[in-house]
Amino acid sequence: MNNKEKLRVLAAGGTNTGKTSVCLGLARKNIYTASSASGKMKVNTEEYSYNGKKYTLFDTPGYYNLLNASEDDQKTKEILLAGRADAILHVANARHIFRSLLMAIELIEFDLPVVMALNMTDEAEKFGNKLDIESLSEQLGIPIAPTIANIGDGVETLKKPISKRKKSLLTMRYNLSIEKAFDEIRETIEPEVTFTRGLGLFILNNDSMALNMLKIALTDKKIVELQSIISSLTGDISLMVMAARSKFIERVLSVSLKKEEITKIPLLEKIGTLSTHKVYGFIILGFVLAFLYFFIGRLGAEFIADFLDQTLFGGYINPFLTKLAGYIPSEFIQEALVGNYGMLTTGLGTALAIILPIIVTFFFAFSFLEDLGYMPRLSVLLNSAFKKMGLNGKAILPMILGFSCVTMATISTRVLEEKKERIITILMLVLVIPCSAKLSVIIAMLARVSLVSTLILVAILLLMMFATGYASSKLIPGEKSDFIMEIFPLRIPSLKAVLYKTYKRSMWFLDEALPFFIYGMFCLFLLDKIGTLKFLEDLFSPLVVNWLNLPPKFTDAYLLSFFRGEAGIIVLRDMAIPGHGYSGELLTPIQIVVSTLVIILSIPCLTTLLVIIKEYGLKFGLLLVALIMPLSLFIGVVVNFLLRLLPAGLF
Amino acid sequence: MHVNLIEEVLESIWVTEEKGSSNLAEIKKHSCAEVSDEVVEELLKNKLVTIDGDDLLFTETGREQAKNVIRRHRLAERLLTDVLKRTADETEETACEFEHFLAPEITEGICTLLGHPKTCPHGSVIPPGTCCIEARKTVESVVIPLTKLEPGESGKIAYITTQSHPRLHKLLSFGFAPGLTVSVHQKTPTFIIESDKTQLALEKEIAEDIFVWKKEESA
Repeated sequence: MNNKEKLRVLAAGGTNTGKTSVCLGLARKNIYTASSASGKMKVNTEEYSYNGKKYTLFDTPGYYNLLNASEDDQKTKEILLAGRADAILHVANARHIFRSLLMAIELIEFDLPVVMALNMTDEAEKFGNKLDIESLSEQLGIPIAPTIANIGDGVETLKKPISKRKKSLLTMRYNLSIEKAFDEIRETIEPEVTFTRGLGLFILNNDSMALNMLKIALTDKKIVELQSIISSLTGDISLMVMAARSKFIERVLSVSLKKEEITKIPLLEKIGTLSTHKVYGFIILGFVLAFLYFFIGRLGAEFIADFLDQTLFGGYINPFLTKLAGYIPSEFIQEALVGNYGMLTTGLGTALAIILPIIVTFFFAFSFLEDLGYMPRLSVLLNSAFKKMGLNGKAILPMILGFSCVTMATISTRVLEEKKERIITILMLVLVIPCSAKLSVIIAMLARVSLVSTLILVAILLLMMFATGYASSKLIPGEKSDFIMEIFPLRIPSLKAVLYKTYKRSMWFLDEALPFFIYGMFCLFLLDKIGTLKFLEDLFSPLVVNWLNLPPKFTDAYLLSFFRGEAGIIVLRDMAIPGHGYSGELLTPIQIVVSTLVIILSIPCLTTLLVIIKEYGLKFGLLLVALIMPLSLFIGVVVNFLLRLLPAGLF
Repeated sequence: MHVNLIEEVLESIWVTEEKGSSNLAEIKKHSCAEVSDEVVEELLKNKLVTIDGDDLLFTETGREQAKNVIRRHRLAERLLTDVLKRTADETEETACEFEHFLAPEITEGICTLLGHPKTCPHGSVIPPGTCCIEARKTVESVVIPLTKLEPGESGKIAYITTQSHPRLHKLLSFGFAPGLTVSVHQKTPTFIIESDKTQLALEKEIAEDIFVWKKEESA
C-alpha cells in the first residue's frame, strides 16, 4: 500500500463500550451533531488525518463473540473475513475486562495490527479493579491507551499507535488436534488465500460465511479437502477455543489486575440488596416512582414549565416577538412567525417553555438512577412480567427512555439482542408509551377529569401494552434472548457525571426535536392558510364528530401529532383547559379520555418514524403506519362507545 | 467365551430377579443376548450361579459381578440423559456398550459427578457402589442444579448442561465456568448468583442448567 491510500481501520468491540464515541472523538466530531446517532445496524464510517496520512474508520455494531456470531456480529465478521481492514481498533470496556480480553485475543488472531482503546478504567477502579495497563499491553503484545471516550479523554493518543501498525506477537496455542488442523488448512488454502489463525477457526467451526468466501477463491477440490479436515476434527471447537483463551486470560489478569478493597457503604449495600427483593424491591420501586413524579411531574412540568410558559414567554418573550414581527411588512410572514400557528410563539415557545423543562428534569432523574446503579435492578424486578410479552428485563431500559422521548428510546432498542425483541419493543413504544412531553400535558388535562377516568385511561393503555406484547410475541418469528445481566453494587452518583449526561441528552433532544416543532407548526400554518386544514377537518368530520364524538378541530391535533405528538397534545390542551384561546365548547371528561387515548396510540412523531425507517426499512415503516393509524382511531371509537354506556357521573 | 456375553446374561438374571423371578425361561425373555446352554454351563463353571430346578440363582461372586454391570449400565443412562440430554430411548444402546468397559474408578467418578443417583432414568434402582456408601458416611457434597440451592448457600460449578451455544458462551464470558464457586443471592423474582467478582442476574431456566457441588456449611 502506498502513502496516498487511506488506511482502513476497523473499530470493533462489545455493545455499549463507547465505540462510536471513540470514532467520533478521533474524527473530532460531536456526538449529537453526527449522523450516527441512529442507524446502528449499519457500519458508519468516519475519517481523520494523522501525520499527512488519511484514515477511514469503520464503526461497527457491538458484538458478543465472532465465532458463534449473532445477526449483529456478522458485520464485523464480514469485514475481517473479506480482508477489508488494514488495522483494528479494539474498543474495550475495563468494567468487563474478562470479556474484553476474550475479544482482543479473537481479533489479534486475524494477524492485523490491533490497538486497544480501554474505556471506563476510572469506572472499574471505583469498583476496586485496578488494571496495570503497561503489563497488560506487554502480555497481549498490543498498544493499549486508556480512554474516557464520552468526554474525549485519551482518544488523541490512539492515533500514534494506530499509525505504527505493529502486529502482536502473541500466539494462542490450542490443543494439538486444532493445531494440526491449522497446518492442514494452511497447506490447502495457501497461496490463493492467506492463512490466519482467525480464519482457521472460522473454517473449523464450519462457518458458512467463511466457507462461501473461500468458494470464490478456491477450487472445488480444495473445498472438499477443507470439508474433510473439518469433519475429521472431533469435539466442540468453540468450547475448546474458549477454554484455552479463558485460561490464558486468567493468567494475564493474575498479573495485571489488582483487586483493591473499596470502601463499602452499608446503607447503600442494604438498599441494593433490598431493591431486587420480591416484596421490598417493589416498595423501593414505589418510592422511585414517587420521586420521579415529584421531580419531573411537579417540579419540571408544573413549577418550571409554568414559570417559563406564563411568566417568561407569555409575559415577556412572546409579546416582544409579536411587537418585533410587527415591523415585518408582510402580514403573511408575521402570521407565520407569531400567529395562531406561529413558528416562534407556538412552535419554539412550546418546545422551550413546556417541553424542555420536562426533558431536562427527566434526563437528570434518569442519569441519576443510572449512575446510582439502579437500572439493572429494575430489569431483575420486572423480568418475569416482560417475559410474558416475549421480552426480557433488558427491554425495561428502552421502555423507560420512551417516557422521555420515544425517538431516543427507539434508537436505544439496539441494546436488545434479538430482532424480534427489538420489534416488539418498538411496537409497544410507538403504540402505548407517551413521551414525557406528552405525558406532562396529559397530566394537566387529566386534572379536569375524575380519578376513575384517569384509571380507565391507564388501564386501557396497560391492556394495549400487554395485548401488543403478547400478540406480537406469538406472531413475530424468532427467539427470545436469554436474560443474563451483570449487577453492579449501588454507589453514590457523581454529580458531575449526572449533570454531564443530562446536558448531553437534552442537547440531543433539542437537536432532534426543535426543527420538527418549528417546521411542523409551519406546515400546519400553511395547511390552515390554503384552506386544506378546513378541508381535512371537513373530510374527517363524520368520523371525528359522529364516531368519536369530538369537535372537528380534533383533526388538527391528530394531524399535528403525526409530526410531533406533543404539539398535537398541546392543541388538545387548548381545547380542554380554559384560558388558551379556544373558541369552541371545552371538551367533556369522556372526550378528554377518548382524544388523549387516540393521540397516544397513533404514531408518536415523524422523527420516530424516520428512525424506524432508517433502521428497519421503508416497508416496515409504512406497514407500521398502515397498522397503527386505523388501529388508534378504531380503539378510540370502541372506547368512546363503551364509556358512553357507563353512568356519566363516573367521569 | 466372550466376557460381554456373560455380563449380558448376568444382567438379565438381575433384571428378572428384580421382577420377582429366577426362572430360566423368564431370564431368556429378558436377555438381549442368546442364553444358550453353553453360557449357562460357563456361568456354572465360573461359580457365578447355581441351578435349582428351573431357577438360576446367583452365587455371592455372581451377584457382586451382576451388581457392577447393572450399576455401570444405569449410571451410563443417567449420564447420557442428565448431562448429554438424550432421551431414555436413545441411551439404551450406548448404555449397553458402556456397561462392558467402564473401569471401576471411572464408574465411581461418574457416580460422584452425578451426585450418587439412586435410580436410573427408567426408575430402576442403581445398586450403590463403595463411593455412594462412603459419601453417605462423610456427607460429601453432591452435584445438584443451582436452583436447588437456597439463598445464602453456595456451591462449586461442576458442569453446565445447556444445549444452547450462545447461552453457554455468555456464561463463560462472564467468567462463570466450571470450578468457580458461586452463591445464590436470591431466587425470586429473578435468580441472582454471585461469585467473588461478579453478581449476575439470570433466568431460572438458565440456572437449572448450571450444576454445582453443594458446599456444606461448616458447623
